Amino acid sequence: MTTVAERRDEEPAGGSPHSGGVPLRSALWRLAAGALVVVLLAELAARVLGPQLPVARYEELTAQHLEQLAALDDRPGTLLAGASQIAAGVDPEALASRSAAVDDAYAFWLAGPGIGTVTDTVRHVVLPRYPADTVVIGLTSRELNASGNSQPLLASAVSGSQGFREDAGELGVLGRIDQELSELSALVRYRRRLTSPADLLREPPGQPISDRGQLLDRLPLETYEPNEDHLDQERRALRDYELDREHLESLRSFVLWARERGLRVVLVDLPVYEPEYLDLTEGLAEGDQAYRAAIRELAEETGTTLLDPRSALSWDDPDLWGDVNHLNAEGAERLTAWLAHRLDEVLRP
Amino acid sequence: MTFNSLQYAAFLGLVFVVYWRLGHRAQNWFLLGASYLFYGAWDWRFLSLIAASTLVDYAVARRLDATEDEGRRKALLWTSVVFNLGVLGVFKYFDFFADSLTGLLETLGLEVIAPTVDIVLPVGISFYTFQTISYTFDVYRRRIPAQHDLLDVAVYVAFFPQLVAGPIERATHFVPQVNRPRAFPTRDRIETGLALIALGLFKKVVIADTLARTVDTAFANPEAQSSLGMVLATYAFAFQIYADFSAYTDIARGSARLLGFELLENFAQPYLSRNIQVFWRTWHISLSNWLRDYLYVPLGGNRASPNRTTINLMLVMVLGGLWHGASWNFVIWGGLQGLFLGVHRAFTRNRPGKPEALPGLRDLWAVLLTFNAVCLAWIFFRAETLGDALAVIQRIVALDVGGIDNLEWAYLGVAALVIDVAQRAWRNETFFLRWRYELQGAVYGLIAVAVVVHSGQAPVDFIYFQF
Repeated sequence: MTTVAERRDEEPAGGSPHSGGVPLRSALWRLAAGALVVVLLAELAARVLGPQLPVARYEELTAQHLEQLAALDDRPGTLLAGASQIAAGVDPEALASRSAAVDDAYAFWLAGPGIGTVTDTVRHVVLPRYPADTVVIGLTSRELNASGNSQPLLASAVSGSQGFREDAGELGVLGRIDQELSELSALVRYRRRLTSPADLLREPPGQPISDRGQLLDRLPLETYEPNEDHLDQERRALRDYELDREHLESLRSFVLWARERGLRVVLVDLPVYEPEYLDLTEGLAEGDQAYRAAIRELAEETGTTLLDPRSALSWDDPDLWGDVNHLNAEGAERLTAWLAHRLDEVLRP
Repeated sequence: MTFNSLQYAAFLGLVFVVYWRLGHRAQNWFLLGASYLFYGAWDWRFLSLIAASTLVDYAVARRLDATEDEGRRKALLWTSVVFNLGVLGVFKYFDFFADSLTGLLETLGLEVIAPTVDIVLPVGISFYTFQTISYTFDVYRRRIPAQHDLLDVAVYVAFFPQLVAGPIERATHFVPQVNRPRAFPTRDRIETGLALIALGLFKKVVIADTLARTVDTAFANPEAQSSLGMVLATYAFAFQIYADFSAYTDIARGSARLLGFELLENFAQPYLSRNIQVFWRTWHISLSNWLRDYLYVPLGGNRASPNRTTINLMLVMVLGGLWHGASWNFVIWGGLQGLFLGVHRAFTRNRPGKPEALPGLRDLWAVLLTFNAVCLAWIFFRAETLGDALAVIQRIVALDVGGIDNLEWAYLGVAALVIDVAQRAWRNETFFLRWRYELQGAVYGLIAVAVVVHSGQAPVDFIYFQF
């Protein structure tokens, strides 16, 4: 019995029944006319609809980040970046007011990607816009986790975005042509928004969390209550923990690059709620030790100051935590106070 | 150089212009060079593997034709099979079996670690090794004479439109096209070739790559999805993999047509299938036919006892699953397909129906049942580990009525279905070429707009490149 494919191969090839009668030149003109009408209508629709649609999360390096950066003072300050506790837990205003060594501070946070993506974004997007003289990078073992299956997605979403590639000088010829075209065509200019036309019918998607206030709004301020959904999420993210050498190398590269430009870099080994965190997955305790050893080695090799609030204070009190790896307001205040004190010691001559 | 890139457009255009200025034999040499260049752009290190596979099977086939001794002929056939499967085994399966053995020994209390080779998987190896095996098999069965010209065999193996991800061509179908001079394509052939390429681009860039985002997000973190959200993500993957793989085939066939070749059809609107048997006659047709002709039939096929037939079916589908990847997930995927086929055989008296007819409303339940069964198996195909697959299924059966934020991508699945229904209804994969030229132009304009709008997202590799 012949298969579908074998029967199909015997059929004559499809083609326009008009091709026999319509001269080629006429056919081409008519094809072009039909295509042009559609393209013009689409361009018109893009010009009308495009500005109405919200910027999709992570599709462009968020307009919100860039607006925040544009609104900052021009005076040199301290940039906080990295894991949630440092970039959205530590209060930049409180830090600046408590620390004599910090005149101004700005917290930059991307939800989720590994530390390599964060430092790449800091290098290419944030520092050209914020005149930091000090960069404080906070980490936990989660930021150097090669097995996490959501981090690569976030990393590619950030580093693949037009804005990032433009700032990183990675656009190339095609990218620059694309940039020129976006000046001429609304279809090109608004295309990332146009891929989500359903946004017209609903509330704009929530803005990505980019500041401490928004994060704390999500976290309980009372005693730590294990949130099974979050714990499951973290178990999956930290399953088969493996130190991410590539991100570690990116961090090392960033540290050296920053120091070449006269920036002071401080690494912070951030606390986690150890009674729950280290038991999340099999092997995480060993993986966490490997992470701590790796950043100590990096700090020593590069001559970078490494602050260790995790060892200096006890963080086992659940009243300091919103969940297994996010401080609540009280915990953030404690970390801010400690960090302000230590930065005074290491940064002031 | 992926099919959905400007580099490929430039490459194909250049090949087209130069190719049609050459005589027959020069065309074959030029095609071989272009094909090796195309593959070398992926990874030049593995060109020697393609060359070696070509040489071994060319030599084996020549010797097969030169001897009548059945014992010697079988030995020669096995030489080809062992060599090709050996190459595939080393590059694709060695570490999988070594790790599995280590795991099994650990379970038995033995601390023995089997050595692994940790080697890069050459692109397209699963496709071209199966293709070369089919050549020696067909020579052995005397369905095609052994080719005296090594160039013709080399072009058959390395032909660039289908080298990396199929269709898995049969020597009986493709080699005669290499042997004989090819006429410059008619206007109809050019129109349909370009239409196939345009359709393929639309399916890949607009449907598959956009759906990939919602699928990747959901499968990376199923706990964050509601049950309905996870079901929708599974449906999204069904359309993603279909659009992705059929797009590759469309562009491959369109490109080949512009060069005067016809490649085998690989898909025939599989999600309109009334039952699982029809599904496997319309999904990845070149692979399912290969497994039927070179594995299932030699094992006895339908002529064996019912129990033996069921076992054969299960074995073939499990091996088919393993062909896709060195992972227990693919074994389970194949096993599920075998189970569905076995159940179908047991309860439906082997009435596959006419796959090419458009299903009516009364067939809707059967189509939906088949589609959902296929989607259940897709969960194992897409998930990275067995644990991930079970987490997805757990999420679905939790019946958690939560919010969904991926329904907006449903329109892409609908778009894929509309194309399929139109192709089936008009019995023509380039159905819009039947319309007036202005409307054809409008279709091309729509495709161009959609591709431009969606081309701003990060590109996603063709799924079947990993096989």
